[in-house]
Amino acid sequence: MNRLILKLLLFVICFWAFDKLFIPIRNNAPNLEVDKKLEHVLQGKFNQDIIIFGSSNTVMGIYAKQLGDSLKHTAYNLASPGSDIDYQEFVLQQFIANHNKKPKLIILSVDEPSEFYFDKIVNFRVDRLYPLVKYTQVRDELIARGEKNKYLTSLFILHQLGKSNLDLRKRHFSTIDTLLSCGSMPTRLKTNNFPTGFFNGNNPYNIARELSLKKEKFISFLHLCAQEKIKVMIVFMPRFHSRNYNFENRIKKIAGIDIAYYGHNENTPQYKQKQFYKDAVHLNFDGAKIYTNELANFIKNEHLLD
Amino acid sequence: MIFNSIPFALFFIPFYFIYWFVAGKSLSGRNVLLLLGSYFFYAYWEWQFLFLLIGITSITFFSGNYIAKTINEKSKSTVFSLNILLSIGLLVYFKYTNFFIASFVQLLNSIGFKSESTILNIVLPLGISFYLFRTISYLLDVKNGKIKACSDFLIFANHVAFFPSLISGPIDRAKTLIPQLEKESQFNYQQATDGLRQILWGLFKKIVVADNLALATTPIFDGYLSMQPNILLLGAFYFSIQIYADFSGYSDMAIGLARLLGFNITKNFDFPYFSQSITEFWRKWHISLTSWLTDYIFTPISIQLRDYAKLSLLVGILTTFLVSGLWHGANWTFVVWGALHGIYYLPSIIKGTMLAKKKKPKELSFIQKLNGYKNMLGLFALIMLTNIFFKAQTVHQAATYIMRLCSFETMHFPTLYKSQFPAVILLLGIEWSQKNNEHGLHGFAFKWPLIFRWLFYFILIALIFIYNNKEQQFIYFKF
Repeated sequence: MNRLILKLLLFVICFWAFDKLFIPIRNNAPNLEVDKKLEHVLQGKFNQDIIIFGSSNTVMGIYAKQLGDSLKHTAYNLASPGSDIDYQEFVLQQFIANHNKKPKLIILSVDEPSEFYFDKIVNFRVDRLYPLVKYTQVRDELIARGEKNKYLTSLFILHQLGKSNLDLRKRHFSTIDTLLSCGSMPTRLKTNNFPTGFFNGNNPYNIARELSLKKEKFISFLHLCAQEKIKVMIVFMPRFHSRNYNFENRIKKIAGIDIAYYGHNENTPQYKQKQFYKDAVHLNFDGAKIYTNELANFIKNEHLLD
Repeated sequence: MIFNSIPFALFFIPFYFIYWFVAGKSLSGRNVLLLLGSYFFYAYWEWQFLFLLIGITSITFFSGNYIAKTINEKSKSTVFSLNILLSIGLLVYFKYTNFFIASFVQLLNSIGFKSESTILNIVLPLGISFYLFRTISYLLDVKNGKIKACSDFLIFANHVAFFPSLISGPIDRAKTLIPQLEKESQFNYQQATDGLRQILWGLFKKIVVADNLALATTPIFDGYLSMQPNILLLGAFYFSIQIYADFSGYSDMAIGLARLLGFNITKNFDFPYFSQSITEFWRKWHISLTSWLTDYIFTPISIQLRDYAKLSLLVGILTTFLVSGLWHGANWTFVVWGALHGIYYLPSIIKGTMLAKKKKPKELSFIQKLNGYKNMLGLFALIMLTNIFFKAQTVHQAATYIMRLCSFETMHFPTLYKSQFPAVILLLGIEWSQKNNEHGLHGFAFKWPLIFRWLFYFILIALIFIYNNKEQQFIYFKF
């Protein structure tokens, strides 16, 4: 028995030393990434007047540079493809906690109709966290989400890592993706993922499908902004169908009346034409320019930056 | 408290040292400690069901002793029948009530009576299929005079609730475990280190292979209508590896833990995917369940019907596999899965080779080897397709999935879910090299210089740490 205990102790000590060889891999992981948005949030590097939150339709559909230029303010698109309100609230928390400059306006784009629904495609982007595990805040979040164990994480570097950390190649965007310095990812790609024609009817919205966690995160997002005295506006992105007023009214009911809302102008003919979309739910670059222009005019008219 | 969790480590590490401190001094002390440990392990999950476990153990213990002692055949038979009825009744109630209700309502609807299905809120006690099979086999063996009734309640209770195999097997027979519980344990360094290696291999299979593959199989099976046929084929392949890695990984951990405590429990998997025939496969897959079903279902049926020659084998096999299917889950998909495996036996029953023991020649010619590989791949493909029924939610889903595989597009190399390949290759490579050994790490790297051997173990542990994300339940826990 003593022999076993001694050997196990020696094994653990040697493994502990072996584990420390992975410190450079962990620390170098952020340098391999091409999308530095979250890392800049963690480093407190933001210094913009307008920050945009949302998912893929936001990052493609709002061209932050154009918005900033027309409003004569700086703007950054912090939206992440595939992210839900849970992730966006985490990013906002980190944004505030890491002393980034407080923006004058936060634009939160909500996903219609799945902002509060379970959606396989839109979720908390844990994969965006693993390249940044060298940051304590990220490790804490992974522990809080049950991804990693608190004690093992503090003892072993290896337990902090994820599968993606084993890929030591530098990440690249594919030919169809791009990330501009303003954080937007406009696209000129067009897919055939469209319904046969523009749907002009009344879209349903099912409250029973709402997840309480997502609603809580949405409310928490707005509370954080209120606490920090940051103005918020909620926007509904154009889709290849008429506006879903059932959904918009639900959002307004939960968020309250002290917030500015913007849904696109239904009389703009381009929103009914496929050539301004990548697919049924994402605007392409041409569509993004039109929408961004409308959005800038709304912000000007409503004096939201005053 | 699953084996690959911190609570289990916090329970097992101190338990282990106290166990060996006590074990060297007193047999009854060791057995008391072992039983307390097993009951704590079970109660940690659902303490309410601990009473069910203790109740079943007590009833079986007293019934066994009564059956062994009484000379009155009628009362012996009554006690035995009541006990078996109770066990099967519990299993049917907890596991199959909702299945029967749903199937009955479906039948009524199909013949024109409009009826709505009511699902009862029945919680399935963890490991019930495993410990009830253990108590049933004990009573059958006592009644048939194969074993003596256990006269020590502590030993019998330990046999039923032995924590390494309580939740998900192997389903040990009384003749395997009880004699070991009656003897004092001696600490054996070789046994303990080999147990540790087996646990390490089990953890690798579960966390690095099975959980990792689940990240691919879940979306593929969920989105089977929109996935390309080549991705569906990959999903079916991955699922077959996943279910093997998951269940045999758990068995490896259970056997390894038992070995650390000085016990040798039943081997449950013997590299089944390297089998060359369906009979060989079932001798190597979930060995403890297969041998249970063979002894208590197949053999009695074929003996009863022995006058009907091949028909007896056919009825025996089909019944055994239908029970096996239903044991795996209360769903028609499992019934079809079991029935298909039974059907695969047909050629060997017709040819009369099912029960014939083949002598393996010492040296195989190149052609014989090639033939063997061909059989192995053919059998794997068949099992892989059958496993689609195991994973699918409905028979219709499985059938559609298989129909969608009938396309030349399956020949295209998949572009998605490639990151799982290295783990699968590592698993199959190591297991292939160890296919004549007890487990994947039994002999692998064993003769390497210490530094390389440890480095290999470090790499395995590193992968386990890295891949260990959200705690995943074992597939077989629901059975």
